[in-house]
Amino acid sequence: MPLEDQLEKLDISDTSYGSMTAEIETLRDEDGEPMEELVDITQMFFDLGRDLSPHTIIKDPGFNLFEGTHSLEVNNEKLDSSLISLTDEERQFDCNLAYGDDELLRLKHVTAIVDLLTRFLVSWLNEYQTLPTTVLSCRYVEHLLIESSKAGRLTYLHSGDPLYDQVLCDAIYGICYFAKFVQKLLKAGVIFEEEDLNFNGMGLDFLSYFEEQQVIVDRLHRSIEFVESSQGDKGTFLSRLLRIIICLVKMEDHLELYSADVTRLDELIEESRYLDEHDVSQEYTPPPGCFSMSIQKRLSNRFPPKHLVVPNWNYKGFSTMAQDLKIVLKVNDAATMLEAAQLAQYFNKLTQRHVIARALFPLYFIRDDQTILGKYSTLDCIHMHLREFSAMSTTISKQSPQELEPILQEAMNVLFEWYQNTAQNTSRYRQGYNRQLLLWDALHAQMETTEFELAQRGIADQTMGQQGRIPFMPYSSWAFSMKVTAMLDYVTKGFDLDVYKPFESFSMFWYAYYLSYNLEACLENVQQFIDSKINSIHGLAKKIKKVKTIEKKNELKAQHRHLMDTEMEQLRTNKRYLSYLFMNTAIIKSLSLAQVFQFSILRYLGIIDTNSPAKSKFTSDRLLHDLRFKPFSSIGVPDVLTYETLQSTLREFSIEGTMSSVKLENARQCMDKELQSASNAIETIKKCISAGDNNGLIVTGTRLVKEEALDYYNHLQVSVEAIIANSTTISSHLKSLKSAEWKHRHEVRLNVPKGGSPFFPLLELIEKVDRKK
Amino acid sequence: MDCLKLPDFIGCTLHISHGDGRMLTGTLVALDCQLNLLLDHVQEHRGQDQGERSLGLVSVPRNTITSVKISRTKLDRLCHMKQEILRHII
Amino acid sequence: MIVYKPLDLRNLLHFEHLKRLIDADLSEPYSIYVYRYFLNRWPELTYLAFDDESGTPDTPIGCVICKSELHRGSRMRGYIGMLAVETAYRGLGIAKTLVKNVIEKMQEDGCDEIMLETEVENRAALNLYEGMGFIRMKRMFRYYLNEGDAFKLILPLTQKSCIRTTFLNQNDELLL
Repeated sequence: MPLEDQLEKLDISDTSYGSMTAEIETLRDEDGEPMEELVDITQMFFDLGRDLSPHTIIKDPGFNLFEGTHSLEVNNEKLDSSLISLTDEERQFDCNLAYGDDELLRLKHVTAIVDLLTRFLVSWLNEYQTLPTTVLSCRYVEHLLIESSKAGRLTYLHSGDPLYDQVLCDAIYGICYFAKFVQKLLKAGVIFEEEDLNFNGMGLDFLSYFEEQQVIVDRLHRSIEFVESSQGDKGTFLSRLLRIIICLVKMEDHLELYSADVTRLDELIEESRYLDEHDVSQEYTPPPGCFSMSIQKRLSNRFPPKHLVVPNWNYKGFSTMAQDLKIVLKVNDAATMLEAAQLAQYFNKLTQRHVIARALFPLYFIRDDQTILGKYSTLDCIHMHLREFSAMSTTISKQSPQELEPILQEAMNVLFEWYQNTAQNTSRYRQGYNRQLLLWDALHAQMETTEFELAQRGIADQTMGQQGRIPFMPYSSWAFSMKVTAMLDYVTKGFDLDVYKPFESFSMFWYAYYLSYNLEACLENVQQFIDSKINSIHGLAKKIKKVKTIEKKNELKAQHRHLMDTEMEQLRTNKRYLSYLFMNTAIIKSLSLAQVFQFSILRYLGIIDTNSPAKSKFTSDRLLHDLRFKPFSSIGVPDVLTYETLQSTLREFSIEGTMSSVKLENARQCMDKELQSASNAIETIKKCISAGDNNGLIVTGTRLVKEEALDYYNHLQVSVEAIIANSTTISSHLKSLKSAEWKHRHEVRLNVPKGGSPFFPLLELIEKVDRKK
Repeated sequence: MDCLKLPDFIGCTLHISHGDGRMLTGTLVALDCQLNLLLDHVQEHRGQDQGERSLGLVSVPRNTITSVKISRTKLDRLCHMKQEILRHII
Repeated sequence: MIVYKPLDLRNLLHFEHLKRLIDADLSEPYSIYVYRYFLNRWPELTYLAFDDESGTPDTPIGCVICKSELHRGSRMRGYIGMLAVETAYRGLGIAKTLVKNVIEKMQEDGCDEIMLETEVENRAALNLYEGMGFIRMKRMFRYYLNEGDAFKLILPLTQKSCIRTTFLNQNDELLL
């Protein structure tokens, strides 16, 4: 019997009434009548509860006690917002008083309020704080939102001072309008509440009734003019703040109008730089009681009390936000799907981008009207992806048979998920790939089946090679390469997130090697196919010379010209893109293999093994292996890495026995070789990224994310050098096999060197830290 | 009223007073052997000037409770129904 | 000597002591009903440690609180909810023994795996659990109220722990 049922039984057995509960349910629906006479049942209630057995939980059968774990609690300091204590100033704060005895003090107060609110925005969005402890802790914000919501229009303060009644109100409405845009991004479901962003609006309506952005902007301009004319230099800081707020109000244009205009973002960067350099936090203070935890105590609130944030001088945060948005908006300029995909691939890979930029990316790319970037249909998009990889001028793509349609639709769905996932926070990013493995695998299987069936009907593609005609499946090849790439991303991201312990690094690096080996084989097939396509067009030119009749010659010439005009360029691009993919895969392959060798050398030293160092009677090394490889356990191709395979691989790499010194030297040489070839490939790719795709050698498609892509490869290059240096350090210990005591004092850790790639941490030999200390 | 037992109050709206002048009104969803109550859809009342607010699901420890009240109609209805059921069983 | 005992729900003082022990130790705020959820439904999966040579031999100085449930309809998953040892008693292996005891119990009860979450920065907890064979399955971004990332750790006890849930369910359907 499920535990849940047992529990219900238990509850009722104390005081059982059979069908009572159902009757009470219907009664409860009638509840909520106007309040009337109350009967005190305290005594009876407590008497009834006197002899309850300790196991008793009396509850509604429909109520899951698990929900109870999220409850607040009366008189519990951590869980009762009513216990928040307030100062007299906080209690007596009046929003319709112009605080400050003279005009200068009033200016200082208003400047301080707007300054703090603006920096709170950075605390909220860049530093993951929540609204009630930042922006909503301001009494004016709360007051204006409540009053405006009641009136259904923007209402203003009546203190008699235009600095409060106009300027402060305009600033606050600007900030709230921006918050409304953030709320909309969050509701679009790309980023996660309470993880990427907290939007606890305390039940307040963030201007849902007010759509006129222009009015807010105009009023802010009016306030800037007022401050500048009435306050002169003393008002500079305030007017600069108002300018920042205008930029924030305009930010919604990137979503509402899909604007790629970055003028306002540049302005935001400029203004935030100015403010960052002019720390005036000592100069201005808000009126006492203006910022308070009291909103948590006064309004409806399902959250535990939380102290107010004390923000740093953090104006740089706006610059980060704007810079990251600018990168995302570049996708508007994607000339090919390759460029769009490479932007997605690199923009959020090494540095987690600002939450606004990450939330906007998928919404900007895949629009409300179901188009991609407002230009392409979803079907166009998937065709372009395929064409730019393997499906250029194939028999299948030319005939585009109907049975392909639903599969392409499915492919598009998975691809959307891929695009969306690239914008996730660093942890979700890996989890997304975990899910995608299954999707790509299913798609791969589907495509293979369909292409096989099509081939039987004569719709088939072949590679013409020296060995004759070899069947080629352009669609499945694409799905396979996407799948294996996703698997690789999942595996290597685990290192970045510190998910693997050193003892697991052998199997993970070996698996990465194995996957890149499989990917290489797939790329090779595609390249041969593209080559044979190019050769056949060239072959046509030769044919023309051999043909005797003018008529036939002309016919072939026309055909040749047509192919040169329509297909040749794309085929060449594909070939060069494949060259890039080859190099990129080779880098991963070589680095992974070098790490496998490094592990074997450390294992020879006797300070690490692939077995868990845990002395556990609860589990086994096989179970741990199987659990670690669980995400891949259902993947058909490439084969799962079983525990047995791994063990035999380990034996192959093992340095032991009579030949150990030869084997050791061998391992070191192999390592050097792999690292050298990785280094060469990295240099080539870096040069080609810098030179742009017209370099005649490889096409990287990184025009829009040049810096980010270069950064990625620079980090890899640093890692290569660090692995070489680290290997030398380790080698110095190999001269004589160390004592048992030495081994006991040393261990291996995974460490990312400064500027190195987080996906390939070093296997460093370190002295153990005494944990007791 | 004597016929009522604790499970009968599950699903009822209870009005709980605390020593600090607060009153919580909410639907009783669970209680334990110590009579710590778990109330849902809780409204908190803090006297005339401070108004009312909602808190959702709230655990109300026994030692914070000064009184428990229920509406007269509700109580009468509960008693009536309980007597009906008891009669049927007999 | 440190004595380990399963929870006796009838001892109301234990309940109060447990709350105090955990509240002092963990940053997350817990209401009574967090404890009720675990203790009343799985009283056999809470273990307490006592120092019988101290002046208060009946006051627990350490505890572990767990539950076990069918996970996604496919495998029994034990879950370590809370673990706390009083500051003065740390470094004596008490936490380790508590965890061992409760895992043994869950294994007996037929659990396929044990799961828990812990802060990435909590080296002590990671060392403790990883020393027992737990491995990190995933990282969770800003998981705790104090805003740190967390790792989800799993200790596989049976082969069922190592098969994707979707697959386990499919196999069940095939068996039917």
